[in-house]
Amino acid sequence: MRVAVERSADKMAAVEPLERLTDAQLLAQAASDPAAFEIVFVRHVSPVHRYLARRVEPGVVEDLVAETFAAAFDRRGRYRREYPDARPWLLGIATNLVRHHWRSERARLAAYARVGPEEAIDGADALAVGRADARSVRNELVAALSRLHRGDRDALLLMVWAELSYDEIAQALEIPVGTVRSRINRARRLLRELLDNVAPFGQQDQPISHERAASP
Amino acid sequence: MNEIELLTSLGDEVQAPDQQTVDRLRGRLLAHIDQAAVAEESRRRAVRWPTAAPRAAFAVALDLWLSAVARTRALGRRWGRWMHSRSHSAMVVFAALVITGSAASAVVSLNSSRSQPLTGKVPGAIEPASVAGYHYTITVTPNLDAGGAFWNTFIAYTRNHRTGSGSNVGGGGGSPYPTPTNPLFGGNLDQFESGRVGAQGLLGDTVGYTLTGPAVAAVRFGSRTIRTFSSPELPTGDRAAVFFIPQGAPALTLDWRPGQPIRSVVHIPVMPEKTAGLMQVSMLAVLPLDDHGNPIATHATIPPTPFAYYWHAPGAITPGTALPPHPASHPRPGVCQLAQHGLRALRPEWGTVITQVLPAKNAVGELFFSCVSTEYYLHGWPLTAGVLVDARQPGQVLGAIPGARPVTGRPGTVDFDAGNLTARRSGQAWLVVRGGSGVAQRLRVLDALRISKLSVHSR
Repeated sequence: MRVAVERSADKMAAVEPLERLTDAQLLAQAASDPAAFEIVFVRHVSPVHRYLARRVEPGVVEDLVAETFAAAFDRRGRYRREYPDARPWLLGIATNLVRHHWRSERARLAAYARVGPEEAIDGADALAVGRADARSVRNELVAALSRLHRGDRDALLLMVWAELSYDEIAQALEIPVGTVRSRINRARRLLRELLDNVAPFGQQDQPISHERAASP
Repeated sequence: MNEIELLTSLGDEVQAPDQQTVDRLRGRLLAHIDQAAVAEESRRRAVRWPTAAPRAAFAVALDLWLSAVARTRALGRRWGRWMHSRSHSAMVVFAALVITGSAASAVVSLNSSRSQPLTGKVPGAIEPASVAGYHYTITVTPNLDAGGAFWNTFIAYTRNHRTGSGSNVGGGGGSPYPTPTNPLFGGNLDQFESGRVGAQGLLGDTVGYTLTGPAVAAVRFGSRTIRTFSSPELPTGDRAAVFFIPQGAPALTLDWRPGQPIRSVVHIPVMPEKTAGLMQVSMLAVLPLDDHGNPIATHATIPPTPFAYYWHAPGAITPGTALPPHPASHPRPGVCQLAQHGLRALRPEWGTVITQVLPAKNAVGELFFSCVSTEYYLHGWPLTAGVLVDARQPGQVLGAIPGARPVTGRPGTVDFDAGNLTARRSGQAWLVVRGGSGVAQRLRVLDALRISKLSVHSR
């Protein structure tokens, strides 16, 4: 088992298993012991990969995940120790990288529009008609998403696709939490307006279901 | 459905990455970490540009400008304008000199030639008693024998992927590792092979090379000056010069000291099966040059060597070549120990332990020190295992092994195929296995070994 080591001791002494350290502690240790960074990678590679897979084309996902962790390793010395969980920070780096891949993001959104309940289009039953409507809504949603201001889209998708809270989004994007609230509200309002012409929402003003989005 | 639920349903179509993807990404990350370590070390060891030369160039440019202003006043307006613009041109030239480097560095740049790479082809057509037309590959690997801190260098000549010849050199000429006053080490110079010295006795060109410390910008021998280069295939911070030596050229030596002649003649006894007597050999000193093209003054240094305890298993199949009288049958306790678990066919044959680590404090460039080594035998293959620690500060985390690449799916494990070794990070050390039938066997042996004791620390 890998352990944190106390270098000042006369002999290398086992202090605490690396796996028990917080991300902040691991990143601090990674300054002198790169192996500690591997634990951070293992903890967060899956959510970072899923987030990027939702945002960009499959062909560039792996490169961006690799770039995210490489950039995180390079910047590990600048990590703010008051945040024990590095996931928002990593997702913030990933979001910044996505900004350089707008074409790929647009292609990914187009793919969302293409991939739908295809088999339902030709159907004549009520279910098929419903699916055709759903596809139409989906296409409009994707189109509306691409029309959002970049900052608003990042905040909204970090909340929905990365399941970050408002505070965590603020940490990821390095903006005040109030700005996060206003960006997400603006994005939701615009999406609703753009979608209103396609299909009426049932209870549009229902609160967001997952609890991580609740900000104190 | 509201917009959030719609977006969530879109996102749910994406699956989590599979294990192969994660392994690939982990490999890429480890490669990046290793590269970052190399880059960091290079930055740390980069030779600072002397500030005196740019300052001097700036002062000259300032003088030119001031004198031009004075002459403008004296010569009149029209003539002065021309002079003024001319001084500006001169300033631009001097500014360019300041930006691109000093005139001193131009000495090394203009009068020198670029080194050959670590892998290449010897010019000329293939013919008997010649390596012309062969591909050559130079590899640098850490010494695994306990108690020694130096780099093994090896040059292999191949033709159609078959090894033609090669020479395995531990340390070569110069010093075992670079120090500020003894910066040439390793390489295939200073070799006295059977009846042959350097390129003598060979038809056509051959390859000469030497490794150097970070401060060596070029090496000079006779009228040739070869610029050194750094590479991820070399120890971090160290450099190399590779060059072709024509047939019949003098033998090159790295052991030149200030006050000694550059050219000399030595008499070397030839092998008994050859003509009895002494062979007269012309020698030419290889001089290390700094950024300014000046020879670096060298003097011999003797590195500290800890006493090593040799042991030898009774009935070992592959006994060591230099058996001391009455060796122990088991390793005695040392600062580092290896333990074996599983893989019963793996038999320890002989090895070396040391009871203290003497840091090589004057070493420059990355340097590894082996604190325990054991020769194993597995299904007819000999394999050497060793534990490497930092030779300068033994408690520090070791840097990357030159030329080694991450092994996919095995975090912290690297392989260097050309160097015939595979290694796994273990705390601040590398556990290295060399030899065997290939990487698969070395990985099996690595899995069966662990470092049971590592009692080294920084002072």
